[in-house]
Amino acid sequence: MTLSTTPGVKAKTPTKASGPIRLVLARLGFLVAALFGLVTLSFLLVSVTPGDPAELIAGPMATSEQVDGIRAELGLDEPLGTRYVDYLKGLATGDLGESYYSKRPITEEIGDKLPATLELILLSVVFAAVVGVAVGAVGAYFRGRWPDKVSRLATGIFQAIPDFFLGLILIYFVFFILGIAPAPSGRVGIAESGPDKVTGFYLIDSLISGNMSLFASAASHLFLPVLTLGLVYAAYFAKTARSTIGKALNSQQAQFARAMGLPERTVVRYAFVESRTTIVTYAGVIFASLLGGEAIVERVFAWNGIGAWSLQGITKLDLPVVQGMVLIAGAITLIVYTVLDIVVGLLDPRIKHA
Amino acid sequence: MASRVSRQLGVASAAAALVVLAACSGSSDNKSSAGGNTTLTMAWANVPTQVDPGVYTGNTMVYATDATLSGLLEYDYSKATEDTVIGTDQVVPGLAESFEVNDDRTEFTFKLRQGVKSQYGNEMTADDVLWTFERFLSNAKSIQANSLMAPANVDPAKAVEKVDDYTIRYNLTAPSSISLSILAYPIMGILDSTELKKHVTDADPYAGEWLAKNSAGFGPYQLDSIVPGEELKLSLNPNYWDKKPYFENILVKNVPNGASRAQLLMAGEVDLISEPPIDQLKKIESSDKSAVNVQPDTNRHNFNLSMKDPDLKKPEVRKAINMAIDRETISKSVYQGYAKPAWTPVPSGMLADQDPMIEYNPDEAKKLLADAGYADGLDFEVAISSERPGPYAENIARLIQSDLKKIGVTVTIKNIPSPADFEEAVTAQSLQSYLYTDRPSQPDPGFSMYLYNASTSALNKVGFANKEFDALVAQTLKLDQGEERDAIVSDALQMLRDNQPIFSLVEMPDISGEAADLQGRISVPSGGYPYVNMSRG
Repeated sequence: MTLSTTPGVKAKTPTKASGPIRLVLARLGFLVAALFGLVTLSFLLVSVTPGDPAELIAGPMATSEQVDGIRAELGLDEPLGTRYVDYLKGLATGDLGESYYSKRPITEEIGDKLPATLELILLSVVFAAVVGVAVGAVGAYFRGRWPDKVSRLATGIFQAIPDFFLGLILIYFVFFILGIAPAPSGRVGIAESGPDKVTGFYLIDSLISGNMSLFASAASHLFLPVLTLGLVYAAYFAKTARSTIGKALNSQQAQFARAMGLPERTVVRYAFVESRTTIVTYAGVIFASLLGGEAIVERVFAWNGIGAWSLQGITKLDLPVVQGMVLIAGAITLIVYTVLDIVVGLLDPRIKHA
Repeated sequence: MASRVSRQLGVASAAAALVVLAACSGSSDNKSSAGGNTTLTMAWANVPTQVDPGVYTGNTMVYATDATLSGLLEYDYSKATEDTVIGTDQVVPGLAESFEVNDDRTEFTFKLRQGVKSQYGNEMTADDVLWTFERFLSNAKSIQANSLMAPANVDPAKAVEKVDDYTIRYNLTAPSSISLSILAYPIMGILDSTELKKHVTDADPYAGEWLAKNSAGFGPYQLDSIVPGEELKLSLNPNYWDKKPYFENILVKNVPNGASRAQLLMAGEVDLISEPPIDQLKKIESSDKSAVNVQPDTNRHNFNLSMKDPDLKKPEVRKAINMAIDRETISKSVYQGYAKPAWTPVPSGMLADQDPMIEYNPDEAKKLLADAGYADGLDFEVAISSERPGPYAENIARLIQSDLKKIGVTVTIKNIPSPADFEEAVTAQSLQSYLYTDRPSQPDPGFSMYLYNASTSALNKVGFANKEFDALVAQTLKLDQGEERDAIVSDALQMLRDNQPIFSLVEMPDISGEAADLQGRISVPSGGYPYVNMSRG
């Protein structure tokens, strides 16, 4: 007997990119559109904000003529449309303007401060994910027993404490009382200077320059801020991990695996695999929210990053700084979410149909 | 699958290793205040983003350039006392070794010191002075041209003229009591034009781009490096013309959080912190490694009531309200006794023996209010910002609210979260009342009264407008020190007592947290630090 195709129906040949490629192309297309939207939004958000930066820049000694002069100099007296076109032209040439106060180009300031923040939050998210997932998994595995109770208590405490407050407590005890952490003096010691800039990441740049003592200093100065953000966000990971891993451990697949006599560690591993998309998604969301969201922690640790910089820009109504921050944080967030979509889609092909 | 687990373990191990490494190397910092250490290490709330004295980017720019620049005249540090600030007439020769003045006190002929060299080895001559003043005046909005030289009646058409290589003439359009003291203001320091001319371009004829990150003065220190907004490193200028300062190096780090600055100080990591938080002062004092240095200043924290409000503009109402405020309690509770109650029309450290503006008398206040037709009391709103006067603004407002309730006045507190919005509302004079600060750049009563009370001054934020008063302060600006001027100042002070334009609550001293062995920080009129006067004991 031979199988024949149904008469009148031809086999389909794919005309478009399919599978993973299609997913990547679709997400990248969305990214381009979203970035354009972000550019417009960042301009509008800042331009329609009430408050007159010219008054602030001019300072208390200025006359109204001087304030008008500053307004004209900054182009704030131009119509909104003209300012938008100028903004787009500037963006096209990589010119985001200069800070009203520091008088430095925004791109230069972002170039200086973004690596400091990225170094801090990348390590914090890794720390939070490792610790949080471990604690959550323990809670899920021993659900209802004392390890679960301890992990839930710890999770509750760290979720309730504001990150900057935990930072201050850690500085007081770990640096001031115990003396085992370095002073909150920024990315390196008071008397030290950062390594020559290659990537802007002190850990990497100090290794490139072969300066191991500076590497140790940079690592030690990361310790408390990473611990601060890491502990707070580990609590969020733990909560998510406890529920997703718990669900996976009680799933029919896990019960089937146990019934088949597979070792317990294999069952746990299966549960991890099943919950990985949720945890990866969570890591991306936390990373994006930390970008700028850890401004007060940066301030507490004298971390000269993009968060503290933008906080200062907001309070001083330094429009180019605020605009630059909205743009860079928005762009990185969009890119992270796009990568996340792609990674999650690849890890779990069912997602793309959702 | 097994390899994925290994990868996960790898990530975990790497993170753990980092934490262990961090913990092991935790105490690698050098303690700064070890005996004999000639590096002055400071943690400031703000580190300047650039150091071109021609571009005002905040007060810390002035403090930083004070180290690298010398002026024609300098503040006389020996005149600083526990109660008074260095006066406008208390200046000593700096780059100019002497001067003569004409009879109507509008032409000062300065003899320049010979053999003075910058860090680059270039000798200072009259050409450097001329080029520096030309640079000041090249931007009419610069602090030098607009806020210092203009009120000092410096002739913008011929501010300085060259007589010979070591003699210059400084010209005023009218006499002024602050014409000499502005020359001691740090950012009026003379620049090495020989060096700077090497860095000019067509687009940047005064080398601003280069000077933002470099020093070219004749001061005691030279700038080694600047990380904008983060760090400054300075070392001795090997060619400095005066006595070599004690500290050979200065290191300034940006530590924006007040509590972190205090802990750095108490741990012996730094020699000095700026703006120590008031709630940390007792702790700093109780530590054996640190001390609180309180110096007189002209900074005052005020309660401003609009003079455009139909009720609040009445002199009797203003007197009643001002009389009902218990400044002693504000000083003791909010400022923990570090700030003094303010009773005088201008800061007491600027002018001694003034009659008080008002006396605390809540019973009399209630009577005065009733006589003014407000027996049933009145209501108004006080706006506050945590940036100015500070995070304790609400505590001050609560005390005022409680004081005024006793005389039947109901005060509603309105917190304006954005400092930008707050400043805009203050400038627009749209607030009924608010807490604020003032600190004149020149400690001179006439100048100070003009700045904050004359109707022609942009800093007059309460809307006080009195032609007679304006005429009096205008006269003080065109007279040098002397009896004639003192009499006019006295009349103007009385007008302030009669009209009560600004209610000063406390006189805020210049406070720093310092290492226990640090000596010599006195208050200077510009704010900041007298580097050459400081040493380790």
